[in-house]
This record gives sequence, structure tokens and C-alpha cells, in this order.
Amino acid sequence: MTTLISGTKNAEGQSNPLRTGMDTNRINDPCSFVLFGASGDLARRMIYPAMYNMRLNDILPSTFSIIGFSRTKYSNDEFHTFVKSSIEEFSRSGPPNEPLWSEFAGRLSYVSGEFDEIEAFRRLADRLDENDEKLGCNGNRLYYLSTPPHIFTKVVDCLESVKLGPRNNTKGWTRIVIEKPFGLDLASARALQNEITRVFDEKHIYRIDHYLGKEPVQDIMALRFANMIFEPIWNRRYVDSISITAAETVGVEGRGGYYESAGALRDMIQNHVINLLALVAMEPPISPKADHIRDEKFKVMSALRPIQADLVPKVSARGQYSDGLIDGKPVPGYREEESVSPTSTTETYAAVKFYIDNWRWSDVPFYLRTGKRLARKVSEIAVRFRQIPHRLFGETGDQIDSNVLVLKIQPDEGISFRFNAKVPGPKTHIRSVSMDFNYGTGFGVLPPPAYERLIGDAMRGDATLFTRWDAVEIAWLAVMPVIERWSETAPNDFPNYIAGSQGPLSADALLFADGREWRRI
Amino acid sequence: MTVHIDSLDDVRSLAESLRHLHKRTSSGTLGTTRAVTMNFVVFVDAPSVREWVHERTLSVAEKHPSRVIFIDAASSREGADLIPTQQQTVTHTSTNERVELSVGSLDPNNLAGLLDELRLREVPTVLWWAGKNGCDDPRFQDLRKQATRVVVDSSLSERSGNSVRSLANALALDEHQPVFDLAYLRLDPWREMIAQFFDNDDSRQDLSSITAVEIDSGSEAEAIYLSAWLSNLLHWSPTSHRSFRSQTGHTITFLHRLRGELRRVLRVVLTTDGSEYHAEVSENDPSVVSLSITGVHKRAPWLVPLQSIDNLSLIERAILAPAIDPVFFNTLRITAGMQGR
Repeated sequence: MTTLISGTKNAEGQSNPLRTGMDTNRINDPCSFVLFGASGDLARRMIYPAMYNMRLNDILPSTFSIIGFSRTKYSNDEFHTFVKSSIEEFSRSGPPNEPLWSEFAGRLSYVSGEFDEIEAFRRLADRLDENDEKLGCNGNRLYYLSTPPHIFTKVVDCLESVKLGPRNNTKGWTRIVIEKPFGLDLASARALQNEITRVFDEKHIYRIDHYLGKEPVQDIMALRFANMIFEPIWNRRYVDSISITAAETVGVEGRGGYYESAGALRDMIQNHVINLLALVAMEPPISPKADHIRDEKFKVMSALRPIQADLVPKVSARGQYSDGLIDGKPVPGYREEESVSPTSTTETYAAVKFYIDNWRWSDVPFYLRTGKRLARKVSEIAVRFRQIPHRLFGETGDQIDSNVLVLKIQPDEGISFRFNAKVPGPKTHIRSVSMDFNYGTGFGVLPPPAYERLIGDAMRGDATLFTRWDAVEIAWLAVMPVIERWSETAPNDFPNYIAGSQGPLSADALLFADGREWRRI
Repeated sequence: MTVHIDSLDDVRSLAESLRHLHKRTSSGTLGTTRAVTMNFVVFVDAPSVREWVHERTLSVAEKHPSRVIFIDAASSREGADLIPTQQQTVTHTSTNERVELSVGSLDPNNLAGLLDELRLREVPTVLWWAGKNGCDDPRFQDLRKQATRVVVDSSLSERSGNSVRSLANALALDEHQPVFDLAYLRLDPWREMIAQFFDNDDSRQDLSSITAVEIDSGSEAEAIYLSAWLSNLLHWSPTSHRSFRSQTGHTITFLHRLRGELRRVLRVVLTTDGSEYHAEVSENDPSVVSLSITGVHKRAPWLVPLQSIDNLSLIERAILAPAIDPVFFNTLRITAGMQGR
């Protein structure tokens, strides 16, 4: 009577027939999650709430532990209080409830120490062994570096010194999650990579960029490769230009110290924005597997035309905000922000024009821009199509606009398409109209926050949404000429845009020179 | 803007009124879009659940832009209301229509014809059947022929075990139509928890030596589905409504204890030769289940959050799930075998 159905394999590759056909996000592998920088802001705002919500949604494995490691001197009880308060303040599901909180807290512990203190790492090793034995974590370890970048190599060295690296783990798997930025330039990124790969192989390394965990970013691939109508026109024959915008209304949010050494180009263009470019411009991968997608991203990033040093002023623009109004409220200029030099030349706005030298995209400009304290928070990709070859319709004075397909990443995730239509009436007036699709109203499903998705993926060993080293390196190569040129020539017009505006005029000039203009932020 | 029509006799004029309404709401306000993902057809005939079903229908339509066709057979009156609807977000206003049909005792053939006129052809049709007599109702067979997927809730009926059976019989006629029973979907967390027991190698060996299944729940459908699901995946054959036979020939007893609220499972115990696998809703918190293993594969109790999936989410799952679920389909076939003996 029944049809024989074979069992599906679990994470260990063994078959549990009761999991047949089960559509679940649950992580089956037991795991110890070690958070370096456990008392920091990222941990408090994002990581603990994400872990707790994963527990509430039954995504974490039934046997897991979380070990916080940081310099702050906390007892276990104080650490529990710290984590609980962070969940109360930032969790999307509200304050923690009993009895689940107590059960969750029973799996939380803390090791205090300097990031280069071998003795502290020995205590960490003991705690991990203890958790394997008492909590059944099976030797699987996920290290998460939520620390400033200059700490990364210290932690990795110490892990290796006390035999906590993957090559010494005979019981289970070992992975490491590294927050951006991965280096501050090409040389420091390569040095960091060399240091880390002395201990971790590339397959163990998960470079996290929370931007790539956002649902609308993943929707880009679905739009391109789950529809027949776009791919035939997704090339130089039909596309005039592509502009990618990542605009923020916030300032540096207390991270002035970091931002002074980074700037908009390193902070956003080198990672988030170039990754968006790769997703929108890559060839179709042969499968949705992590490496197949990452291979295609790498290929298209490898085709970015190197920017000649003397052309940098023509293909880029930079800016820094002065005081102004955001949502009607006054905000200070960048130079008045905490931990920022009053004569700072760090850019808070960057725009760069790239070309991709391959068959599909030859001579199609890709305009990338990002900035802080702009008029509106908006991330989008605008694909502008070529003008019609011959004008048949329209009365004198009618403007026949190019078609524009806009992939809106935030806010109001969705897609809009602009096309021309005849205005009803005896004359043939042509006017632009917009067709909009909004994910919120279309599906009515709230996607999980990026950190929950990405931490879960790292625990499962799915690297699709993490950046591979070759992509990091090629992205640095692409922006280095601009970084070098900008560091050699101090800007003499900073601050050059008002907080709450569209950005500096030099960015507008970048497109005017090509006979184009930015979409309004 | 609402249009009321007293009689359902003239189907064509009703459809024409709907087209007029569609045109009026389509015309011209800037920023207004029309997005339709499906025809959402809902049938209800019990006054006791009419409001409950109607409320959830509107909630589904609010999240999934739809042409709603609400068929109300709970009252004796006859007529139709054509109602334009709008959903607003920060940047968009989306317009649609809702058709509320009071069908009284309209002939089933006329009902099918009415639906055929009113539904949009270019989008899928989802039928949510909330009929009090389960799927034995001839109107169910007529309406489902026009549906691309069917959603039922066996637990809505007081005799939920019978509803499962009638669904199994109805399905026997068509194996290609995606059908979802909310009573089965509601058990997802329990199926997940039971599977969890056997994720490790040692316990997994015990799957072949299960000798008894005990389930405490507030209605029968849940217990039937859970035991049939185990039977399906472990290749047991039903020998009566209270026992199965394993592939090696031993008997597995199935005991259902009616306890607690409707639609809620309280406890599942699986007994094997050497161990007992025990999952029970916590006395202190009904949203937490305590899992434990005693005997040879003893493991200290651990807690699992019980995902209380509201009915609206279950309906959404049924709407969004990809096509036929073969595990559910085979489980349903087994329920027919269990009850038919």
C-alpha cells in the first residue's frame, strides 16, 4: 500500500527516515559557538538577539553551547545578565521568557582574557572540552570574530597555539567567521589572509558581510535566473548603463575611530557594492551550489577594467558631509563627530565608474555610489535600457524616456519597471508609467534578519552567502587605484555636501560628462 | 462602491458587474497598482465557524493580493456582494475585489458554474474548503475540479477522524492535485521533535524495534496523522485502527487518549525493546515541550520550543508550499487503511 521512500541524510551523512520530506531550517549538527568580542556592540545588538531568536524558532541544534570571550571581566552570572539585557533591548521577539531563557542561559558561559593571552585560550580549550562532554557538542566549533580587524591574527595564532585550530580537531568540524573589513587595503588583506590560512584552510573560513544575507540581495539571482524575459536583454545590446546605490541617512554612529581609517570606499564599495555588481553582472551559474555561484562572481569581478591612476579623477568622486538636516532634525558635520579629526579628509561619500571587459558588458558603464547622511536611506540597482532606435510616436515636446528596471533592496524591497505608454486621447502623447512590485504586499512574508540567516548558514557549512578570498582580493585590486590616488591628493573642498542632500556636485558631474544622471535618492 | 445583487440566477450579469467594478477600481490613481497572485475561493457552511473563517480569509487576502470568492452556505439567503478592496503600504496602494456569495441551497452544479464565471483565468485558484461535513460533500468535488490547490482542515469537524477519512477517499480520485490539510501541517513541530530523537546513530537503531505508540491529544485527527506518518516512513502496515505490523512482522500498538484542547497534542511516547522516547508539553509553559529518553539510550530531558503555528500561517504555508507533498499523500492513504478496518 505504501510507497517506499528512502530516508534523507542528516548533517553527518546518515539517514534518519523520519526526516524524509521534512522542510526544516533546523541545524542538526551539535555545535559550540565561540564569540570573540563578546562584550562588544555588534554582539549586543545583533548576535545574541539572533542566537536567541534562532533558539526560539527551533533552528539551533538541540545540543549547542555559546562561549563568550572578551577582555571585560565578567563572571558567568554577569555575562548572563549582559546577554539577557541585550535580548531584552534588541530582540525582534521581545524579552526572553521562562523556561526557555533558563535553558538557553544554561548553555551560555564566559571566558575572560586578552586576545593574545595563551592562558586564557587554555581556559577556553578546557571549557570547550567540558561542553563537548556535558552538553554533547561533539567537538564541532564555530569561532566568530566580532573584534576589531587588528585582533584577528592574534586570536587565530592563540587558537593554534592551544591546538584549537581545525587541524588538531579530530572530533568534529572547525569553522571561523570573520567580520568585515577584511584588511584595509590589498597588502593588509593579503597579509591577513596569509596569517589566517596558516591555521585555517579556505573551506573553514566564512567572511561575513551581513548585506549579502539580506533577502532582496538573494532575490537578484531569482529575478535574473528564474525568469525567461530578462536574460535575453541583460547585455550590452539592450542595456545602456547600470547604477548601484547604497545611501544611508545615518552618520558614523559612534564608530568615528574605525571610519577615519576606512572611509566610504573601503567600508561599502569594496565589499557590499561590488558584490551587488557581481550578482547583477555575472553569468548564470551551473547550479546554486556555493562554489558555482562564487566562481561566477569571481569571473565577472576579474573582468573589471583596471582603473588607470591618471583617470581616477575622471571616473570617481568623493565627498564629506557638513552639518545639515535629516528628517527635519539638525545633525553635526562629519568633522564634529566623536573620534573624528576636525581636519579629517576621510570620504563619507564615494562614487566610482567601472567597466566590465567581457562579451556581455563591454562598454556598459556601471556607476557605483555610497554615502552617509544622504537624503534618504535607499539601496537599489537601476538597469537603464537603451533608447529606442527610431521614434514613431509622440507629439512635439514629448520625451520618450529609456526603460528602467529598478531592483529595490531597501527599504520597500521590490522591483519597478518604467516604460512608455500612450496618454488616452486623440493625439499620440507618450508618457512614462511605472509598474511596481513590492515583496511586502506580494508575498506578505517577513524574511529572517541577515544575522540569523548567516549564522545558521555557517553552522550548516553553507558558504554561499559568504565571500571567498579570491573575490575579496579582486575587489581590493579593483578599488586600489582609487584608494592610492585619493590618499596622494588631499581633497581641498571637504566638507562638500550638506547632510540630508543628494551628495557632492562632483558626483553629479561624473554622470553629466557621460550624458546621464543619477536617480534621485 | 460596493455592488449588491439579490439573485444568483443570472450568472452572466453578476460576472459583468464584477468586470465593471474591476474597471472602475483599475482606472488611474497614481501609485495604485493591481496585483493578483491567486483566486482565493473559500467555502463555509457552518454558522459556528463562519465568522472565524471569514476573518482569516480577509487576513490572507490582505497579505496575498487575491480575487477573493467567499462562498457562504451557512445562511439560507441568496445574493452577492461585490466589494472593492485596497491594501496600503508606505509607497503603494494595491487594489482588488472580493466577491461574497450567499449561496443558500444553490444547486451544486450552479455553484460550480458561478465559480467558473467569477474566477480570473490567468492566476492559480486556491480552494479553502471549510465544509462541516468534510470532503464527503458533493459540492467539494465540484469546486475542487476548478482549483489548482486545495486546503482543508480536518480538525474543524467535531468528528475529525471521519474528516481525515473522507479526505483520503476524496483524494483517491485524483493523485495529481496538491491538497493540504491544516490538521497535518499543524503537526510539523511534533514531527520535527519525534525525528530529533533519532538523529543520532544509537537511537536510530531503535526505529526498527518500536512496539507501541501513545498519543494524547484534544482531537483524533492529530493522533491519526502522527501514527500514520510513522507508519508511512517506517514501512508499517495498518492491521486495525489500533495496530500496525512492522516489516519484520511484529505488532505495534497505537493508543490515542483524548485529552486537552481541540487540535492540541499534549504527549507522544514511543516504546521500543530497550528505551522509551517521551515528549510532553511542559506543565509550566504550554509553548515548551520536554523531551527525554529513558532506558538503554537514556538522555537527560531537554526543552524544545513548541512553535505554536497560528491558523493564518498554516493557510499561508498551504498556499506557498511547492506542489504535492508525497509524504503527506502516502500518510493520508495509510489513514484510510487504518480506519477502514
